[in-house]
Amino acid sequence: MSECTSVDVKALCHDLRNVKAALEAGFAYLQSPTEGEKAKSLCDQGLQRLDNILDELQSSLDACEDQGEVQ
Amino acid sequence: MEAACRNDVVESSRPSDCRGKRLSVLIVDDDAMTRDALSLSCSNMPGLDANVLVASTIEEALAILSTDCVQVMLLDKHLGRDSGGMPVDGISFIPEFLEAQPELQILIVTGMKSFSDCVEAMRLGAFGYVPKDTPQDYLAEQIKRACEHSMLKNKQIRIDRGEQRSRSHIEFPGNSQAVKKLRSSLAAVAETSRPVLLNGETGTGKTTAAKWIHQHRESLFKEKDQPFFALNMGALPSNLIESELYGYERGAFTDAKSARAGYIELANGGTLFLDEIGEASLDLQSKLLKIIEEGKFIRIGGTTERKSIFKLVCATNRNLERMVADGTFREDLYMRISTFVVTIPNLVDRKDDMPEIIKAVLKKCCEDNSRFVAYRDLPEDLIAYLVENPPRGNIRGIEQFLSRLLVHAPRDSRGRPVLTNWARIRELRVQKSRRPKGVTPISIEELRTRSIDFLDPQFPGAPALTDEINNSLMMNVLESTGTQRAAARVLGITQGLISQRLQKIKTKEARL
Repeated sequence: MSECTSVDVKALCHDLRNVKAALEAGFAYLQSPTEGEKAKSLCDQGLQRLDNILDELQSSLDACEDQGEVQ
Repeated sequence: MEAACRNDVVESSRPSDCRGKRLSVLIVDDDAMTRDALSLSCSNMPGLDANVLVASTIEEALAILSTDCVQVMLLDKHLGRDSGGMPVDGISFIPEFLEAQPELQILIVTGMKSFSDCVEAMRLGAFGYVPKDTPQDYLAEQIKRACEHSMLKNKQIRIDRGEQRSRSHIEFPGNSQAVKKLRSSLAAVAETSRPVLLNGETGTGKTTAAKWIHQHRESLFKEKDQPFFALNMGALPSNLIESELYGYERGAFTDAKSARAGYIELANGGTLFLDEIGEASLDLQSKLLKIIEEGKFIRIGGTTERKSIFKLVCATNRNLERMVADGTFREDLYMRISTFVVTIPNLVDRKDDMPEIIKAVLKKCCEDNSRFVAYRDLPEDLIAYLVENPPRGNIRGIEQFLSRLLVHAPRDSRGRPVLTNWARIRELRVQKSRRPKGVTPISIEELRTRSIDFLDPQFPGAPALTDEINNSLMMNVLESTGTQRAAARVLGITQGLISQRLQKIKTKEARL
Protein backbone atom coordinates (compact mmCIF):
# COMPACT_ATOMS: atom_id res chain seq x y z
CA MET A 1 0.00 0.00 0.00
CA SER A 2 1.48 3.37 -1.05
CA GLU A 3 1.61 6.40 1.18
CA CYS A 4 -0.89 9.23 0.91
CA THR A 5 1.25 11.97 -0.66
CA SER A 6 0.33 15.02 -2.70
CA VAL A 7 0.74 14.41 -6.44
CA ASP A 8 3.47 16.43 -8.19
CA VAL A 9 1.19 18.17 -10.66
CA LYS A 10 4.10 19.71 -12.62
CA ALA A 11 5.74 16.35 -13.20
CA LEU A 12 2.35 14.83 -14.06
CA CYS A 13 1.69 17.52 -16.68
CA HIS A 14 5.18 16.98 -18.11
CA ASP A 15 4.61 13.23 -18.36
CA LEU A 16 1.14 13.61 -19.85
CA ARG A 17 2.44 16.01 -22.51
CA ASN A 18 5.16 13.49 -23.42
CA VAL A 19 2.45 10.81 -23.73
CA LYS A 20 0.24 13.08 -25.80
CA ALA A 21 3.14 13.91 -28.17
CA ALA A 22 3.97 10.21 -28.55
CA LEU A 23 0.34 9.21 -29.21
CA GLU A 24 -0.17 12.04 -31.68
CA ALA A 25 2.97 11.11 -33.63
CA GLY A 26 2.02 7.43 -33.46
CA PHE A 27 -1.55 7.94 -34.69
CA ALA A 28 -0.40 10.27 -37.47
CA TYR A 29 1.76 7.59 -39.10
CA LEU A 30 -0.15 4.42 -38.13
CA GLN A 31 -1.33 3.93 -41.70
CA SER A 32 2.04 4.78 -43.28
CA PRO A 33 3.43 1.82 -45.24
CA THR A 34 7.00 2.67 -44.26
CA GLU A 35 6.59 4.01 -40.72
CA GLY A 36 3.59 1.92 -39.64
CA GLU A 37 5.60 -0.41 -37.41
CA LYS A 38 7.41 2.43 -35.65
CA ALA A 39 4.12 4.30 -35.18
CA LYS A 40 2.43 1.22 -33.67
CA SER A 41 5.31 0.72 -31.25
CA LEU A 42 5.10 4.40 -30.27
CA CYS A 43 1.34 4.10 -29.61
CA ASP A 44 1.98 1.01 -27.46
CA GLN A 45 4.66 2.84 -25.49
CA GLY A 46 2.35 5.85 -25.03
CA LEU A 47 -0.55 3.72 -23.83
CA GLN A 48 1.75 1.77 -21.50
CA ARG A 49 3.06 5.04 -20.06
CA LEU A 50 -0.54 6.26 -19.63
CA ASP A 51 -1.39 3.01 -17.78
CA ASN A 52 1.54 3.57 -15.45
CA ILE A 53 0.48 7.14 -14.73
CA LEU A 54 -3.11 6.00 -14.03
CA ASP A 55 -1.90 3.17 -11.77
CA GLU A 56 0.24 5.60 -9.85
CA LEU A 57 -2.63 8.06 -9.48
CA GLN A 58 -5.06 5.30 -8.45
CA SER A 59 -2.77 3.95 -5.75
CA SER A 60 -2.16 7.45 -4.44
CA LEU A 61 -5.93 8.02 -4.40
CA ASP A 62 -6.56 4.69 -2.64
CA ALA A 63 -3.97 5.48 0.02
CA CYS A 64 -5.53 8.85 0.70
CA GLU A 65 -9.08 7.40 0.85
CA ASP A 66 -7.87 4.86 3.41
CA GLN A 67 -6.61 7.71 5.56
CA GLY A 68 -9.82 9.63 4.96
CA GLU A 69 -8.21 12.51 3.21
CA VAL A 70 -8.50 12.83 -0.53
CA GLN A 71 -5.85 15.00 -2.02
CA MET B 1 38.26 15.40 -47.44
CA GLU B 2 37.49 12.07 -45.92
CA ALA B 3 35.12 11.17 -48.69
CA ALA B 4 37.47 12.89 -51.04
CA CYS B 5 40.15 10.37 -50.36
CA ARG B 6 38.01 7.29 -50.03
CA ASN B 7 36.06 7.50 -53.25
CA ASP B 8 38.28 6.98 -56.19
CA VAL B 9 36.34 8.21 -59.14
CA VAL B 10 32.99 9.93 -58.75
CA GLU B 11 31.02 10.75 -55.66
CA SER B 12 27.68 9.27 -56.58
CA SER B 13 26.02 9.92 -53.28
CA ARG B 14 27.22 12.84 -51.25
CA PRO B 15 27.25 13.04 -47.48
CA SER B 16 24.14 14.40 -45.91
CA ASP B 17 25.66 16.78 -43.39
CA CYS B 18 26.08 20.29 -44.74
CA ARG B 19 25.58 19.63 -48.42
CA GLY B 20 22.68 20.25 -50.68
CA LYS B 21 19.22 20.87 -49.38
CA ARG B 22 19.25 18.14 -46.73
CA LEU B 23 19.26 19.56 -43.24
CA SER B 24 20.22 17.91 -39.99
CA VAL B 25 18.03 18.03 -36.91
CA LEU B 26 19.40 16.92 -33.56
CA ILE B 27 16.89 15.79 -30.90
CA VAL B 28 18.22 16.01 -27.34
CA ASP B 29 15.86 14.36 -24.87
CA ASP B 30 16.44 11.89 -22.04
CA ASP B 31 13.06 10.22 -22.62
CA ALA B 32 13.36 7.46 -25.26
CA MET B 33 9.65 7.59 -26.14
CA THR B 34 9.77 11.34 -26.78
CA ARG B 35 12.95 10.97 -28.85
CA ASP B 36 11.20 8.34 -30.97
CA ALA B 37 8.07 10.48 -31.33
CA LEU B 38 10.00 13.61 -32.38
CA SER B 39 12.26 11.57 -34.64
CA LEU B 40 9.24 10.02 -36.38
CA SER B 41 7.62 13.43 -36.82
CA CYS B 42 10.79 15.14 -38.12
CA SER B 43 11.61 12.33 -40.56
CA ASN B 44 8.15 12.51 -42.12
CA MET B 45 7.30 16.19 -42.06
CA PRO B 46 6.09 17.26 -45.49
CA GLY B 47 8.56 19.61 -47.21
CA LEU B 48 11.28 18.84 -44.71
CA ASP B 49 14.00 16.53 -46.00
CA ALA B 50 15.75 16.08 -42.68
CA ASN B 51 18.52 13.85 -41.45
CA VAL B 52 17.52 13.16 -37.83
CA LEU B 53 20.15 12.63 -35.13
CA VAL B 54 19.36 11.81 -31.49
CA ALA B 55 21.16 12.30 -28.17
CA SER B 56 20.01 11.51 -24.64
CA THR B 57 22.63 13.51 -22.73
CA ILE B 58 24.50 16.82 -23.04
CA GLU B 59 27.77 14.95 -23.63
CA GLU B 60 26.28 12.97 -26.50
CA ALA B 61 24.89 16.17 -28.02
CA LEU B 62 28.25 17.95 -27.82
CA ALA B 63 29.99 14.95 -29.38
CA ILE B 64 27.55 15.01 -32.31
CA LEU B 65 27.99 18.78 -32.74
CA SER B 66 31.74 18.35 -32.95
CA THR B 67 31.54 15.91 -35.85
CA ASP B 68 28.29 16.66 -37.71
CA CYS B 69 26.93 19.85 -39.15
CA VAL B 70 23.56 20.41 -37.48
CA GLN B 71 21.18 23.21 -38.42
CA VAL B 72 18.40 22.75 -35.85
CA MET B 73 18.42 21.31 -32.33
CA LEU B 74 15.23 20.26 -30.50
CA LEU B 75 16.30 20.52 -26.88
CA ASP B 76 14.41 19.30 -23.82
CA LYS B 77 14.63 21.33 -20.64
CA HIS B 78 14.62 18.40 -18.20
CA LEU B 79 17.43 16.03 -19.12
CA GLY B 80 17.26 13.72 -16.12
CA ARG B 81 19.86 13.86 -13.38
CA ASP B 82 23.65 13.99 -13.47
CA SER B 83 25.97 11.55 -11.64
CA GLY B 84 25.62 13.65 -8.47
CA GLY B 85 21.83 13.36 -8.56
CA MET B 86 21.33 16.99 -9.56
CA PRO B 87 18.72 17.74 -12.26
CA VAL B 88 20.24 18.66 -15.65
CA ASP B 89 18.70 21.78 -17.18
CA GLY B 90 19.09 21.73 -20.99
CA ILE B 91 18.45 25.49 -21.26
CA SER B 92 21.61 26.31 -19.30
CA PHE B 93 23.73 24.56 -21.97
CA ILE B 94 22.52 26.74 -24.84
CA PRO B 95 25.68 28.95 -24.85
CA GLU B 96 27.89 25.85 -25.00
CA PHE B 97 25.96 24.44 -27.96
CA LEU B 98 26.09 27.77 -29.79
CA GLU B 99 29.82 28.02 -29.24
CA ALA B 100 30.27 24.57 -30.74
CA GLN B 101 28.24 25.53 -33.81
CA PRO B 102 27.45 29.25 -34.15
CA GLU B 103 24.92 28.75 -36.97
CA LEU B 104 22.89 26.25 -34.92
CA GLN B 105 19.28 27.23 -34.10
CA ILE B 106 17.91 25.78 -30.87
CA LEU B 107 14.22 25.10 -30.30
CA ILE B 108 13.30 24.27 -26.73
CA VAL B 109 10.72 21.47 -26.96
CA THR B 110 9.48 20.76 -23.47
CA GLY B 111 6.65 19.22 -21.52
CA MET B 112 6.54 22.25 -19.21
CA LYS B 113 4.88 25.51 -20.15
CA SER B 114 6.91 28.01 -18.16
CA PHE B 115 7.07 31.70 -18.99
CA SER B 116 10.30 32.23 -17.05
CA ASP B 117 11.98 29.26 -18.80
CA CYS B 118 10.90 30.68 -22.13
CA VAL B 119 12.39 34.10 -21.32
CA GLU B 120 15.63 32.54 -20.05
CA ALA B 121 15.98 30.34 -23.15
CA MET B 122 15.49 33.29 -25.52
CA ARG B 123 17.94 35.38 -23.48
CA LEU B 124 20.59 32.69 -23.89
CA GLY B 125 20.09 32.59 -27.65
CA ALA B 126 17.42 29.95 -28.33
CA PHE B 127 15.44 30.32 -31.54
CA GLY B 128 12.08 29.37 -29.99
CA TYR B 129 10.16 27.63 -27.24
CA VAL B 130 7.62 24.96 -28.20
CA PRO B 131 5.54 22.81 -25.81
CA LYS B 132 5.63 19.09 -26.62
CA ASP B 133 1.89 18.84 -27.17
CA THR B 134 1.96 21.53 -29.82
CA PRO B 135 0.32 20.61 -33.18
CA GLN B 136 2.67 18.86 -35.63
CA ASP B 137 2.29 21.43 -38.39
CA TYR B 138 3.29 24.24 -36.03
CA LEU B 139 6.41 22.32 -34.98
CA ALA B 140 7.24 21.66 -38.66
CA GLU B 141 6.85 25.38 -39.42
CA GLN B 142 9.16 26.31 -36.55
CA ILE B 143 11.80 23.81 -37.68
CA LYS B 144 11.67 25.15 -41.24
CA ARG B 145 12.04 28.72 -40.03
CA ALA B 146 14.91 27.74 -37.75
CA CYS B 147 16.59 26.03 -40.69
CA GLU B 148 16.28 29.16 -42.84
CA HIS B 149 17.83 31.20 -40.03
CA SER B 150 20.65 28.71 -39.74
CA MET B 151 21.41 28.97 -43.47
CA LEU B 152 21.41 32.77 -43.27
CA LYS B 153 23.68 32.71 -40.23
CA ASN B 154 26.03 30.33 -42.03
CA LYS B 155 26.13 32.64 -45.03
CA GLN B 156 26.80 35.62 -42.80
CA ILE B 157 29.67 33.83 -41.05
CA ARG B 158 31.16 32.88 -44.41
CA ILE B 159 30.95 36.45 -45.67
CA ASP B 160 32.46 37.77 -42.44
CA ARG B 161 35.36 35.35 -42.84
CA GLY B 162 36.06 36.61 -46.35
CA GLU B 163 34.65 33.86 -48.53
CA GLN B 164 35.81 34.43 -52.10
CA ARG B 165 32.88 32.85 -53.83
CA SER B 166 31.99 34.39 -57.20
CA ARG B 167 28.35 35.21 -57.64
CA SER B 168 28.72 35.52 -61.42
CA HIS B 169 29.47 32.68 -63.80
CA ILE B 170 33.18 31.95 -64.21
CA GLU B 171 34.47 31.18 -67.69
CA PHE B 172 37.77 31.05 -69.52
CA PRO B 173 37.52 33.34 -72.55
CA GLY B 174 38.49 31.98 -75.93
CA ASN B 175 38.16 28.85 -78.03
CA SER B 176 41.74 27.89 -78.77
CA GLN B 177 42.83 24.26 -78.52
CA ALA B 178 44.70 25.13 -75.30
CA VAL B 179 41.63 26.54 -73.56
CA LYS B 180 39.34 23.76 -74.82
CA LYS B 181 41.77 21.22 -73.41
CA LEU B 182 41.92 23.18 -70.17
CA ARG B 183 38.11 23.21 -69.83
CA SER B 184 37.80 19.49 -70.41
CA SER B 185 40.61 18.73 -67.95
CA LEU B 186 39.03 20.92 -65.28
CA ALA B 187 35.60 19.35 -65.86
CA ALA B 188 37.09 15.88 -65.52
CA VAL B 189 38.92 16.62 -62.27
CA ALA B 190 35.92 18.50 -60.86
CA GLU B 191 33.92 15.26 -60.89
CA THR B 192 36.29 13.47 -58.58
CA SER B 193 36.54 14.21 -54.91
CA ARG B 194 40.31 13.80 -54.87
CA PRO B 195 42.61 16.84 -54.57
CA VAL B 196 43.66 18.74 -57.67
CA LEU B 197 46.95 20.54 -58.24
CA LEU B 198 46.93 23.55 -60.57
CA ASN B 199 50.23 24.50 -62.14
CA GLY B 200 50.93 27.63 -64.08
CA GLU B 201 52.81 30.87 -64.30
CA THR B 202 51.66 33.83 -62.28
CA GLY B 203 48.60 35.57 -63.73
CA THR B 204 47.46 32.64 -65.87
CA GLY B 205 44.23 32.23 -63.91
CA LYS B 206 44.80 29.56 -61.26
CA THR B 207 42.29 31.13 -58.87
CA THR B 208 39.79 31.39 -61.72
CA ALA B 209 40.38 27.70 -62.47
CA ALA B 210 39.72 26.80 -58.82
CA LYS B 211 36.47 28.78 -58.86
CA TRP B 212 35.55 27.15 -62.17
CA ILE B 213 36.01 23.69 -60.59
CA HIS B 214 33.85 24.76 -57.62
CA GLN B 215 31.04 26.07 -59.84
CA HIS B 216 31.21 23.01 -62.06
CA ARG B 217 30.83 20.75 -59.01
CA GLU B 218 27.86 22.80 -57.81
CA SER B 219 26.06 22.39 -61.12
CA LEU B 220 27.13 18.75 -61.43
CA PHE B 221 25.78 17.80 -58.02
CA LYS B 222 22.84 20.23 -58.24
CA GLU B 223 23.93 22.13 -55.16
CA LYS B 224 23.72 25.83 -54.60
CA ASP B 225 25.70 28.22 -52.48
CA GLN B 226 28.33 25.81 -51.24
CA PRO B 227 31.32 27.43 -49.51
CA PHE B 228 34.48 28.37 -51.40
CA PHE B 229 37.44 29.45 -49.32
CA ALA B 230 40.82 30.49 -50.66
CA LEU B 231 44.00 30.93 -48.66
CA ASN B 232 47.34 32.13 -49.99
CA MET B 233 49.97 30.12 -48.16
CA GLY B 234 52.64 32.67 -48.96
CA ALA B 235 50.72 35.69 -47.72
CA LEU B 236 50.67 35.01 -43.98
CA PRO B 237 53.19 33.80 -41.40
CA SER B 238 53.02 30.08 -40.60
CA ASN B 239 51.32 30.41 -37.18
CA LEU B 240 48.60 32.68 -38.57
CA ILE B 241 47.97 30.34 -41.48
CA GLU B 242 47.49 27.53 -39.00
CA SER B 243 44.87 29.40 -36.98
CA GLU B 244 43.13 30.54 -40.18
CA LEU B 245 43.05 26.99 -41.48
CA TYR B 246 42.22 25.04 -38.33
CA GLY B 247 40.41 27.63 -36.22
CA TYR B 248 40.86 27.82 -32.47
CA GLU B 249 39.10 27.28 -29.19
CA ARG B 250 38.46 29.99 -26.61
CA GLY B 251 41.60 30.64 -24.57
CA ALA B 252 43.92 28.86 -27.04
CA PHE B 253 46.11 31.97 -26.96
CA THR B 254 45.97 35.44 -25.39
CA ASP B 255 43.66 37.04 -27.95
CA ALA B 256 41.39 34.01 -28.42
CA LYS B 257 38.44 35.45 -26.50
CA SER B 258 35.96 33.24 -28.30
CA ALA B 259 36.16 30.07 -30.34
CA ARG B 260 36.51 30.52 -34.10
CA ALA B 261 36.08 28.05 -36.92
CA GLY B 262 38.90 27.80 -39.46
CA TYR B 263 38.74 27.59 -43.25
CA ILE B 264 38.87 23.79 -43.13
CA GLU B 265 35.71 23.73 -41.03
CA LEU B 266 33.97 26.49 -42.98
CA ALA B 267 34.73 24.82 -46.31
CA ASN B 268 32.78 21.72 -45.24
CA GLY B 269 30.68 20.65 -48.19
CA GLY B 270 32.45 23.01 -50.60
CA THR B 271 35.94 23.79 -51.87
CA LEU B 272 39.14 24.82 -50.14
CA PHE B 273 41.69 26.48 -52.42
CA LEU B 274 45.27 26.64 -51.14
CA ASP B 275 47.20 29.01 -53.36
CA GLU B 276 51.01 28.99 -53.41
CA ILE B 277 51.11 25.59 -51.69
CA GLY B 278 54.85 25.50 -52.31
CA GLU B 279 55.26 28.27 -49.72
CA ALA B 280 53.81 26.16 -46.88
CA SER B 281 56.31 25.38 -44.11
CA LEU B 282 57.34 21.76 -43.54
CA ASP B 283 55.53 21.80 -40.20
CA LEU B 284 52.29 22.93 -41.82
CA GLN B 285 52.75 20.41 -44.61
CA SER B 286 52.74 17.54 -42.10
CA LYS B 287 49.55 18.91 -40.53
CA LEU B 288 47.89 19.21 -43.93
CA LEU B 289 48.68 15.59 -44.55
CA LYS B 290 46.40 14.52 -41.70
CA ILE B 291 43.39 16.45 -42.91
CA ILE B 292 43.91 15.18 -46.47
CA GLU B 293 44.33 11.59 -45.33
CA GLU B 294 41.61 11.36 -42.70
CA GLY B 295 39.42 14.41 -43.18
CA LYS B 296 39.81 15.03 -39.44
CA PHE B 297 41.34 17.94 -37.61
CA ILE B 298 41.50 19.55 -34.18
CA ARG B 299 41.10 23.27 -33.58
CA ILE B 300 44.12 24.97 -32.00
CA GLY B 301 43.83 24.63 -28.24
CA GLY B 302 41.07 22.03 -28.59
CA THR B 303 40.83 18.35 -27.86
CA THR B 304 37.80 17.34 -29.90
CA GLU B 305 38.49 15.81 -33.26
CA ARG B 306 36.27 17.34 -35.95
CA LYS B 307 35.42 16.25 -39.44
CA SER B 308 35.22 18.28 -42.63
CA ILE B 309 34.53 17.11 -46.17
CA PHE B 310 35.64 19.38 -48.98
CA LYS B 311 37.24 19.42 -52.39
CA LEU B 312 40.87 20.45 -52.07
CA VAL B 313 42.39 22.47 -54.88
CA CYS B 314 46.05 23.50 -54.57
CA ALA B 315 47.99 25.80 -56.85
CA THR B 316 51.60 26.69 -57.35
CA ASN B 317 53.93 28.31 -59.83
CA ARG B 318 56.90 26.52 -58.34
CA ASN B 319 58.38 23.22 -59.37
CA LEU B 320 57.16 20.99 -56.56
CA GLU B 321 59.00 17.95 -57.89
CA ARG B 322 62.25 19.83 -57.64
CA MET B 323 61.30 21.02 -54.16
CA VAL B 324 60.65 17.39 -53.16
CA ALA B 325 64.09 16.46 -54.49
CA ASP B 326 65.61 19.35 -52.53
CA GLY B 327 63.81 18.28 -49.36
CA THR B 328 61.80 21.52 -49.04
CA PHE B 329 58.45 19.88 -49.83
CA ARG B 330 57.17 16.66 -48.28
CA GLU B 331 57.01 13.86 -50.79
CA ASP B 332 53.99 12.20 -49.12
CA LEU B 333 52.03 15.46 -49.33
CA TYR B 334 53.06 15.94 -52.93
CA MET B 335 51.90 12.41 -53.76
CA ARG B 336 48.51 13.12 -52.24
CA ILE B 337 47.83 16.47 -53.85
CA SER B 338 49.23 15.62 -57.27
CA THR B 339 46.91 12.79 -58.32
CA PHE B 340 45.40 15.21 -60.82
CA VAL B 341 47.66 17.95 -62.12
CA VAL B 342 46.23 20.55 -64.47
CA THR B 343 48.59 22.99 -66.13
CA ILE B 344 47.07 26.37 -66.93
CA PRO B 345 48.48 27.57 -70.27
CA ASN B 346 50.23 30.95 -70.37
CA LEU B 347 49.37 33.75 -72.78
CA VAL B 348 52.04 32.77 -75.30
CA ASP B 349 50.19 29.48 -75.84
CA ARG B 350 46.82 31.25 -76.10
CA LYS B 351 47.54 33.87 -78.75
CA ASP B 352 44.34 32.94 -80.62
CA ASP B 353 42.32 33.77 -77.52
CA MET B 354 43.89 37.18 -76.98
CA PRO B 355 41.03 39.28 -78.42
CA GLU B 356 38.53 37.38 -76.25
CA ILE B 357 40.79 37.69 -73.21
CA ILE B 358 41.25 41.44 -73.80
CA LYS B 359 37.47 41.81 -74.17
CA ALA B 360 36.82 40.00 -70.88
CA VAL B 361 39.60 41.82 -69.01
CA LEU B 362 38.48 45.21 -70.40
CA LYS B 363 35.02 44.71 -68.89
CA LYS B 364 36.53 44.05 -65.46
CA CYS B 365 38.97 46.96 -65.77
CA CYS B 366 36.14 49.34 -66.70
CA GLU B 367 34.21 48.32 -63.58
CA ASP B 368 37.30 48.52 -61.35
CA ASN B 369 38.41 51.94 -62.60
CA SER B 370 35.00 53.52 -63.26
CA ARG B 371 36.02 54.31 -66.85
CA PHE B 372 33.72 52.81 -69.43
CA VAL B 373 35.03 51.94 -72.87
CA ALA B 374 33.54 49.39 -75.28
CA TYR B 375 35.77 46.73 -76.82
CA ARG B 376 35.07 48.14 -80.29
CA ASP B 377 36.58 51.44 -79.13
CA LEU B 378 39.99 49.84 -78.58
CA PRO B 379 42.31 50.73 -81.49
CA GLU B 380 43.11 47.72 -83.66
CA ASP B 381 46.83 48.41 -83.51
CA LEU B 382 46.65 48.30 -79.71
CA ILE B 383 45.07 44.82 -79.79
CA ALA B 384 47.62 43.68 -82.38
CA TYR B 385 50.40 45.09 -80.22
CA LEU B 386 49.20 43.19 -77.17
CA VAL B 387 48.85 39.97 -79.17
CA GLU B 388 52.42 40.29 -80.46
CA ASN B 389 53.87 41.53 -77.18
CA PRO B 390 52.12 39.66 -74.38
CA PRO B 391 52.87 41.61 -71.20
CA ARG B 392 54.72 40.05 -68.31
CA GLY B 393 52.29 38.59 -65.78
CA ASN B 394 49.99 36.99 -68.35
CA ILE B 395 46.32 37.95 -67.86
CA ARG B 396 47.21 40.04 -64.81
CA GLY B 397 49.67 41.90 -67.03
CA ILE B 398 46.89 42.68 -69.53
CA GLU B 399 44.73 43.86 -66.66
CA GLN B 400 47.49 46.23 -65.52
CA PHE B 401 48.02 47.49 -69.07
CA LEU B 402 44.34 48.18 -69.69
CA SER B 403 43.88 49.81 -66.28
CA ARG B 404 46.77 52.19 -67.00
CA LEU B 405 45.34 52.86 -70.46
CA LEU B 406 41.91 53.74 -69.09
CA VAL B 407 43.23 55.91 -66.28
CA HIS B 408 46.04 57.78 -68.07
CA ALA B 409 44.41 58.27 -71.48
CA PRO B 410 43.38 61.89 -72.21
CA ARG B 411 39.62 62.57 -71.98
CA ASP B 412 37.24 64.14 -74.46
CA SER B 413 34.73 66.89 -73.62
CA ARG B 414 32.29 64.27 -72.18
CA GLY B 415 34.99 62.77 -69.95
CA ARG B 416 35.42 59.60 -72.02
CA PRO B 417 38.99 58.26 -72.49
CA VAL B 418 40.45 58.96 -75.96
CA LEU B 419 42.54 55.97 -76.99
CA THR B 420 43.67 56.82 -80.51
CA ASN B 421 47.13 58.02 -79.42
CA TRP B 422 47.62 55.21 -76.91
CA ALA B 423 51.26 54.65 -77.93
CA ARG B 424 52.16 58.11 -76.62
CA ILE B 425 50.96 57.37 -73.10
CA ARG B 426 54.19 57.08 -71.09
CA GLU B 427 52.68 54.94 -68.36
CA LEU B 428 51.88 52.25 -70.90
CA ARG B 429 55.41 50.98 -71.18
CA VAL B 430 54.68 47.29 -71.48
CA GLN B 431 56.79 45.12 -69.27
CA LYS B 432 57.48 42.56 -71.91
CA SER B 433 58.40 39.12 -70.86
CA ARG B 434 62.03 39.22 -71.91
CA ARG B 435 62.77 35.95 -70.28
CA PRO B 436 63.02 33.05 -72.73
CA LYS B 437 60.12 30.64 -72.38
CA GLY B 438 60.68 27.93 -69.82
CA VAL B 439 63.44 29.79 -67.95
CA THR B 440 62.41 30.87 -64.47
CA PRO B 441 64.82 32.72 -62.22
CA ILE B 442 66.16 30.87 -59.20
CA SER B 443 64.52 31.99 -55.97
CA ILE B 444 66.59 33.50 -53.16
CA GLU B 445 65.56 30.62 -50.91
CA GLU B 446 66.74 28.11 -53.50
CA LEU B 447 69.96 30.05 -54.03
CA ARG B 448 70.63 29.88 -50.31
CA THR B 449 69.88 26.20 -49.97
CA ARG B 450 71.51 24.83 -53.11
CA SER B 451 75.25 24.35 -53.46
CA ILE B 452 77.59 25.03 -56.39
CA ASP B 453 79.39 22.14 -58.04
CA PHE B 454 82.97 23.29 -57.54
CA LEU B 455 84.26 19.99 -58.96
CA ASP B 456 82.91 20.97 -62.37
CA PRO B 457 85.90 21.57 -64.72
CA GLN B 458 84.20 24.80 -65.85
CA PHE B 459 84.38 26.25 -62.33
CA PRO B 460 86.36 29.48 -62.84
CA GLY B 461 87.18 30.09 -59.18
CA ALA B 462 85.31 32.18 -56.64
CA PRO B 463 86.28 35.77 -57.73
CA ALA B 464 85.50 35.19 -61.42
CA LEU B 465 82.22 33.38 -60.63
CA THR B 466 80.95 36.06 -58.23
CA ASP B 467 81.90 38.74 -60.80
CA GLU B 468 79.93 36.89 -63.44
CA ILE B 469 76.91 36.50 -61.14
CA ASN B 470 77.09 40.19 -60.14
CA ASN B 471 77.20 41.32 -63.76
CA SER B 472 74.36 39.04 -64.82
CA LEU B 473 72.18 40.23 -61.94
CA MET B 474 72.98 43.86 -62.70
CA MET B 475 72.12 43.45 -66.39
CA ASN B 476 68.81 41.76 -65.54
CA VAL B 477 67.82 44.53 -63.14
CA LEU B 478 68.90 47.22 -65.63
CA GLU B 479 66.82 45.60 -68.33
CA SER B 480 63.82 45.43 -66.08
CA THR B 481 64.02 48.89 -64.48
CA GLY B 482 65.26 50.81 -67.53
CA THR B 483 67.48 53.33 -65.73
CA GLN B 484 70.78 53.11 -63.85
CA ARG B 485 69.36 55.10 -60.96
CA ALA B 486 66.42 52.70 -60.48
CA ALA B 487 68.72 49.68 -60.86
CA ALA B 488 71.09 51.10 -58.22
CA ARG B 489 68.13 51.47 -55.84
CA VAL B 490 67.03 47.87 -56.41
CA LEU B 491 70.53 46.44 -56.11
CA GLY B 492 71.48 48.56 -53.11
CA ILE B 493 74.66 49.91 -54.74
CA THR B 494 75.71 53.31 -56.06
CA GLN B 495 74.97 54.50 -59.58
CA GLY B 496 78.71 55.12 -59.99
CA LEU B 497 79.46 51.46 -59.34
CA ILE B 498 76.96 50.44 -61.99
CA SER B 499 78.49 52.68 -64.66
CA GLN B 500 81.96 51.49 -63.63
CA ARG B 501 80.91 47.86 -64.08
CA LEU B 502 79.19 48.62 -67.37
CA GLN B 503 82.40 50.22 -68.61
CA LYS B 504 84.34 47.11 -67.63
CA ILE B 505 81.86 44.87 -69.45
CA LYS B 506 82.12 47.02 -72.58
CA THR B 507 85.93 46.95 -72.51
CA LYS B 508 85.89 43.18 -72.06
CA GLU B 509 83.47 42.74 -74.95
CA ALA B 510 85.57 45.04 -77.18
CA ARG B 511 88.68 43.00 -76.34
CA LEU B 512 86.91 39.79 -77.31
